[in-house]
Amino acid sequence: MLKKLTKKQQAQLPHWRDKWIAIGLSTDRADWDRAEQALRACYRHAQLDEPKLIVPTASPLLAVQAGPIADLILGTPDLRRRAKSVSVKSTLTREVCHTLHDAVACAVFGALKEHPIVPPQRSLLIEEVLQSSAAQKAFSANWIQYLGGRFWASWSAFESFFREVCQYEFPLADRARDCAEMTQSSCWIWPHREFATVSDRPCVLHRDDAGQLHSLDGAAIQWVNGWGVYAVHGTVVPSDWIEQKDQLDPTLALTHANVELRRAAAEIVGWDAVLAHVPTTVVDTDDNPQIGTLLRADLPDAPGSQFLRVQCGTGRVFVLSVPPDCRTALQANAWTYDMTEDVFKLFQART
Amino acid sequence: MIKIKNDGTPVFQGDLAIRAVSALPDQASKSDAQPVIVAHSETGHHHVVVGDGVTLWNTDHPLLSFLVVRGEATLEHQRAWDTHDPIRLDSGDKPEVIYEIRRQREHSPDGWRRVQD
Repeated sequence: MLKKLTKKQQAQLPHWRDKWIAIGLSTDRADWDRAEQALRACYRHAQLDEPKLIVPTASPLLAVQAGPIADLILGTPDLRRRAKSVSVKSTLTREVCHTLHDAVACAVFGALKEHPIVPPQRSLLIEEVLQSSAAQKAFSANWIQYLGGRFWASWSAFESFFREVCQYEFPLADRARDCAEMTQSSCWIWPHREFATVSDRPCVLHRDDAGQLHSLDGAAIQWVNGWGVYAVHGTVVPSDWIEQKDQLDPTLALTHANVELRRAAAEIVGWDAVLAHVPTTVVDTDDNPQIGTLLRADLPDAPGSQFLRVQCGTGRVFVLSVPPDCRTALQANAWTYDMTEDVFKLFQART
Repeated sequence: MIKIKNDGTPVFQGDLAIRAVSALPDQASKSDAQPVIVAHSETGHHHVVVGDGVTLWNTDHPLLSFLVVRGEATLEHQRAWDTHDPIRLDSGDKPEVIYEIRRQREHSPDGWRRVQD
């Protein structure tokens, strides 16, 4: 039983951390042979027959589209089909892998959840098949039965440290070894009892200083077939906000329904462009940036609109729409919480 | 971690405000939902309360709810980046403390709407 790391083992931790972060962020092409061998081994560990076919795909989107559609084509009744997919995934997950997401994986997951079909980046073949409502249903119901591959690298980083650095052979180590091989060699995997689809790694990956997906010049993460996710400091934005940013309406920085997207729009077009496009006057500025600045703007369809530009506890700046009769930033900020100014201004902290 | 003072002055965690109050309103109804999510986020970055002796009480007002805390609990923001610091809630030497939770709103042509993030 391993109870304590030696100093030599502890000294290896930073190197091991950096090694696995590099694996998770790699934009090298998938190692298909290595991925196939590891995946077949994982099926065996899970007491399943090896898949008859392992299909490489260019992106996670294609992997999770092709898998459910192939399953549909195999002609299994719907309920049984879903049960099979679920059981394979849960068996593999329980027996081989654990799920630990990082920010990149969450953003890709979120993008697929919100915008699963992104024409024209999907394949023409799948485009045709997805015309059928049965295929759309199969995709919607089952795409989520995926394994994260390199995006779930954190568990393999943890367990492989004990196995490889500490030379600790724990029970089921052979399963962990093959899981780590699978993690290192590919991206998303959609396992099925008969086959598996395996995605390539991304070819583009841009992050900000905080490690969040971020690019103002193109997709923040993209695969070789062109499918990708556009993000501003971790907030996923529509692709045309970046690809055609000269056509992005600056008023979205003030009026978009979601404040995070409002902030992203302001960063893309720049506050100078927003203020140049929408004539704005400062009504009141509080000394405390967390109370903010009250602005008045004559929007084309709403003259005399007022906005509070305010810093939140994380240091980020947001714009909130406030009533046109507010006279001070303090009054406007208190209004957003439906508080009197007297109670509001006593606040202990803002996080 | 910030420890809230139970003197009625507010602490803000992103788009919600929390402060100790003296009593639950009459119309508040107890929620048994777990985990205790006091503020849902459109993007999944909920504000949740972690602690054994915590009950959530909802009201007819969509932006107003209450927590009854016996012992210690923590208000956490579930996001891996740009995370709002956790807030420690503590009933101290009292059997329980009641906290009012207010969601942030903004002006809309119809009056107001909840801030979406």
